[in-house]
Amino acid sequence: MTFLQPLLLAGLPLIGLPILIHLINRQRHRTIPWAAMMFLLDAKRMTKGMARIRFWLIMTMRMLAIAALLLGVARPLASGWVGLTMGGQAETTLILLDRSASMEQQELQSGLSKRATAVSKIAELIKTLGEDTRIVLIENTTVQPILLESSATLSKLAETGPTDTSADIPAMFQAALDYVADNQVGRTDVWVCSDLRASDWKPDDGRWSAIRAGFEKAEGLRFNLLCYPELPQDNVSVWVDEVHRIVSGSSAELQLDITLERSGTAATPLRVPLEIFVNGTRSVVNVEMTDSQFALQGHTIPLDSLNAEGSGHVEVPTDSGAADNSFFFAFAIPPDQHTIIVSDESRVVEPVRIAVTSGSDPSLSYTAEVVAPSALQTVDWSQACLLVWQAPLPSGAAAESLQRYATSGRPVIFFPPAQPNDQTLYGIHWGTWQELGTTPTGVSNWRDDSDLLADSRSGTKLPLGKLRVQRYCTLEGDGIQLARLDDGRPLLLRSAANAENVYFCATLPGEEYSTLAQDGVTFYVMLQRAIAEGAAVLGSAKQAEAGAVAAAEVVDWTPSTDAPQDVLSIQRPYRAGAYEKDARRIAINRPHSEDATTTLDDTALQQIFQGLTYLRVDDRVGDTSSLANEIWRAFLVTMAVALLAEAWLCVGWK
Amino acid sequence: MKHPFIESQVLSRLSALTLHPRIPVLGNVAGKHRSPIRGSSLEFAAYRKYVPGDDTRRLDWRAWGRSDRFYIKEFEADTNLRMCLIVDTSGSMNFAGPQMTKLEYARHLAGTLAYMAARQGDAVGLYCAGKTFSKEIPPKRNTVHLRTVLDELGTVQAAGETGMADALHEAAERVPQRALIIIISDLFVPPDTLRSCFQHLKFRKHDVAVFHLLEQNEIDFRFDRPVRFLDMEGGAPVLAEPTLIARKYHEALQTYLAGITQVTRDAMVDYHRVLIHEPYGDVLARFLLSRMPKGARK
Repeated sequence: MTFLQPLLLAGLPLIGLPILIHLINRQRHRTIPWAAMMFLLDAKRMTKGMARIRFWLIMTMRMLAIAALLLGVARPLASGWVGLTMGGQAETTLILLDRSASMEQQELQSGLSKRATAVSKIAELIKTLGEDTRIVLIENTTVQPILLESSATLSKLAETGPTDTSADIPAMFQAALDYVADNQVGRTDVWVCSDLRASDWKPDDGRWSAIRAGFEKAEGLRFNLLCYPELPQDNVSVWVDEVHRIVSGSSAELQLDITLERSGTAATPLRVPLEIFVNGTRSVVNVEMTDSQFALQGHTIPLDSLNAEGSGHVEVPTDSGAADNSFFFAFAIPPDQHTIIVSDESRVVEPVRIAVTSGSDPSLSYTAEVVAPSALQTVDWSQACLLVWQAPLPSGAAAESLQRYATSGRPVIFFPPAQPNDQTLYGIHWGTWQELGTTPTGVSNWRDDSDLLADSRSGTKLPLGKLRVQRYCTLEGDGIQLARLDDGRPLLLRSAANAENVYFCATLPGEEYSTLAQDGVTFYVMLQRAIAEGAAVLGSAKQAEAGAVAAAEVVDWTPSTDAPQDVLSIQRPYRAGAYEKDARRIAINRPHSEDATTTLDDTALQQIFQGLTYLRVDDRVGDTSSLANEIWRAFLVTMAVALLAEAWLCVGWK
Repeated sequence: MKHPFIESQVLSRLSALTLHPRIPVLGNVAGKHRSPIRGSSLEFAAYRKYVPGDDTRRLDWRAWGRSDRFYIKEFEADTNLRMCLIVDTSGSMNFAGPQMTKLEYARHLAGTLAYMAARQGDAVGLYCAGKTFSKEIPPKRNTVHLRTVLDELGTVQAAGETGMADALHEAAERVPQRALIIIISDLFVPPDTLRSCFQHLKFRKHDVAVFHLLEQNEIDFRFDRPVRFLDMEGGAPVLAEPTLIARKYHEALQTYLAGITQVTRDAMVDYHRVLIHEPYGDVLARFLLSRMPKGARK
C-alpha cells in the first residue's frame, strides 16, 4: 500500500497506546476495603470468560481506531493491484508509450482510445503520487527520452497523441535501458503502456536477451505493464492493395484493389457502405461481407483525363478500431519502368534484359538499356528505376555516380563479373568463381516474409527450391542474406551498410551458371519487384507507411483536401493522410502489421520479462477509474465504526 | 444512662412503643408478655376437668352448680421476655457508610433495644459473634446487667472472618427456649447456610428477628476505574475492573438478596433489611410497630 505522507506512519507504535493506558491504570488503581467480597468473587468467577473477550474486544477496537486514524492521515492510496503493491513515489518515472495504430482502438461511447486512456491514467497516477519524480517519456515514433516538467503536460504533448505507426517495443526498451545507464535515475518505475500486439513486441527478437541482461544489472527498477489486450469487436478494417491510373484512349480511370477485413464473428452477413473519395469526390459502394474478408478487386472510378495525379481515401463507418477505418492513396502518371544494365557481356545479361522489359502491366512502358562500364558517363541516371551491374565493382567517379544513384532509394542489383576485382563496395566484394560441374547446388533457405524473395500476396512461395546453381561467385563481406545455397554460401545478399536497396546475386541467369532463367519465375519476380520499388521512388505519387517517412520529407507539404488538417507538421510522418507538394504526392498509412490481432500470451510475456520484477495491470479501453485512489475516507469510517463498537462494548454489552 | 450510641431523642420518640415478642415466651419472673403456661393473671384462658390433686381453690363453683361437674378455671400467665442480641463482629462490620460503620450502626440498634427491653422489665443478653462468640452475656433483668451489656457493646471491635452460621447454631443450643433472638449482621453467608441456622433457632421455639445491615455502595457498586478490593475479613485482595464485572456483581447480589428473603420467609424470621444511612430510630420504630399486637396498633 502506498502512502502520500509515509512519515506519519512512524506514529504506528501509538496503536499500543490503549494497552499502555490500561496497564498504567491498573498500576494507578484505588485500594479500598470491601465487605461484600462474596459477590465480587462470584462476579469475577462468572465473568471470567466473557469479560476477557469483552476486554480484548474493547482494546482491539481502540487500537483499530488509532490505527485507522494514523493510516488515514498518512493518506493511503489503493486501487486494485497497484495500490496493494506500490511502495511510494519513485525518483524517476519512465513512461514507455506505445502509440501504434492499434492503440487507437476506442470505446465508442466515450471516444477514448487505449492510448488516451493510458496517458490519462498515468498522468493522474503521477499527480496523485506527487510530482516530485522525474518524468521521462519514451514513445515509439522518435524512441528518444523526453523529459517532462509535470504530469499535466503528458496529455498535452504532441508526442502522446495518436499515430498510425507501428511500434518497435524492443527499441523502446533499449532506449529506456540506455537512459537508465546514462543517468542517475535512482529508484525507477517503468510504466509500459501497450496493447501487447505481437507485431510490436516482437517476442522472438534477438535484442530482448541483451535488454533483459541490461535491466537485470540495474537496481531499483520496477516494471509496470498497463495492458490493453482487449481486441475490437465487430471491427471492419479497410486496406487498399493497388492503385492504378489507367488511360484508355481519351478517358482515364482509377483502378483500386480494396480489401475489407472483419473481426469477431462472421456468422451473419454484414452490409458495409464503403465510401471512396478521389480528389474530394465521394462515391459509395455497398458491399456485403459474408466472410471475415472481402476483396473488391479492380474497382474502377472514372477520372477526368486531365486529372493526371491526385489523392483520396477509402473509408468504412466508424467502429471501435478507429485507426483502420480509412486508407489513403495517391496516384499519378507512373514513370517509365526503365532499367539500366551495365555489362560488357550482352549475351550473359540478355535474360536480364528480357525479364525487365516484360512487364505485367500493359499500361506501363518497360524499357532497358545495356551499357558498357566504360560508357557510364553517357547514361541518364535520373530516369532509371533499376540498375543491374554485371561488371567488376567500380571505383572512382563511376563508383560515386553509382552511389549517388543508390542514395536516391532506387535499387541496384550486382551480378558477378567474369573477372572479379578486389574492389569493395558497400562492405562487400566478389570472391572467386566456384565450379560445381555435374553436382549443382540448390537453395537451402531464403527470406520469404519481405524483400525481393517474399511470398506473393496470396501467400504462394517463390519456387526457389527448384533452382539449381552450377557456377557461382563467392561473396565476401557483411550483408543480410536473403537466400542461401546448400553449402551455406549466400546466393542473394542485401547490403547492411545503410543501403537497403543494394543487392548482390552470386550467380548469373545463363544456363552454364544456374537455372535462374530456365525456371524464370523467381528471377522475373525478383527483377520486377526491384523495378516497382524503384518506380515508387521515382514516381511522383508514393505510398508510404507511417513512421517510415522522414519528417523533413513531408514537414512542408500540404495536406490534401480529405486528409486530417489538424495534424502538426512534425507529426505528419506518423499520421495517415495524403500530402502534396508541387506535382508530388504521398499517401501515408498504417503498416499492415497493425491490423494483425495476435497479442502476446502470458508465456511470451513472462519470457520477455524473465528475471525482471514486473507487475501487469490489465485495463479496459475507456475505463476512467484511477490506478491509485486516496482511500483515507475508508479509514476514517473504520475509525468511527471502531469507536462506536468500543462505546457499545463499554456501555451496551449485555 | 450515658452511652454514645443511646440517644435520648430516639428514646423519647420510641417511648410510646413497647417491645413485643410474636410468640409466647418463657420468662423467669412475672412480666408483660404472654407465657405458654397457665398462670394467675386476670385474663381467662380455659376450663379443664378437675383431676385429683388440683387446688380446690381454683374450682369454678358456678360451673359445678350448672352442670354438676367439677371444672378448674385457668388463667393466662404473664412473664418477662428474655431478649438475646446477637451482634456480628466479623471484619466486614467495619465497612463504613457516609456516617458510621455497620458495627456502630449495630451498636445503636442493639443498645437502644437493650435499653427499651430493660426499661419494660425484660432480661437482656448479648452475644458478639466473630468467628466464634467473642463475648457472651446471658440475659438478665437488672440495671447493672444492662450497663454491662452496654459497656460491652461500646468496647467490642469487629475483626476476622465471619462465623455467623456457627454462632447461630450455638446460640440456638445455649439460649433457653422461647427467647427473642435479635440478629444484627451484614449476613455475608450463603442463604442456604442460613436456612439451617434459622430452622435450628425456630426448632428451639425462639422468636427470631434479623436486622440485615447493608451499605448503599455495596448495592450500587459504582466505580470508574480499576480498584483493588481489600477483603475486610482477611481474605486475599482482588484487583478488578468494576465496569467489566458490575453487571455480574449486581446479578450475584440480587440472587443473594432474593435467597435471604426466601430463607427468612420460609423460617418465619422477622427480617428487616437496613441501609445504614437510614436513621436507626426509623428502623427501630418500624420494627417495634410491626411487632405490636393487632389491637394495640390502633
